[in-house]
Amino acid sequence: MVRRIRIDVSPDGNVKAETLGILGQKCLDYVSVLEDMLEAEAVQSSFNSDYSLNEHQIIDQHGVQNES
Amino acid sequence: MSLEIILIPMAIALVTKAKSKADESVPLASVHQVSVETRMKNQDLLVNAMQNSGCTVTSTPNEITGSFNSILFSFKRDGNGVWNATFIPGTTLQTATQIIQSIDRAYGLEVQAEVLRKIKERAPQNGMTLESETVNSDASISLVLAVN
Repeated sequence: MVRRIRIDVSPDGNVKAETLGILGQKCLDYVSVLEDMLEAEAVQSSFNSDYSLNEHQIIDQHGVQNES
Repeated sequence: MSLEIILIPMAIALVTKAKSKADESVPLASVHQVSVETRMKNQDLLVNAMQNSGCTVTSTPNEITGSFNSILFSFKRDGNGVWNATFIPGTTLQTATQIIQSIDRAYGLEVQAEVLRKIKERAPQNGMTLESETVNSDASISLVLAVN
């Protein structure tokens, strides 16, 4: 699965970032990465379904066998 | 689905709106001095924003003085590093607020440009590649980064 981050920068200077295809707790690593990269402070975050998925569940959903 | 994060750049104080007030310590019989609290923290970006708003600007490490349509004002840092403005006595609250709002809009654009510059400059060293850049109808700019 391709992992992406979408970053929206508004004309008032505020920033919203969204991780895409980054599963489970790995997405949390990008909070500090973005804070450092943008010299910004994360003031709010919200999780959705990717957070509760892992790679095995994605494989199961698509019916692909992969033991690696 | 994803993790969504709201980030505030360090150049912006964690307040939502500029606040204005007349100095109540001045006796009513005299002319009040208007001060305006802002969210602006970065001196270089503030100076650029003032110039882009049509102000004449003089900047020193501790004070930024400006003039807009012959209205004089100065910015000084507060204890949180935020630049707050004080206007020459006789300036109305409405005029002062309008000037600061204009500078604040220009400051937001300066911060937007600075954030975009940092993302493009620093993405590769953080294992990311810029895939696309889109200017939206609300003047926000969206970047999509591939995580390598």
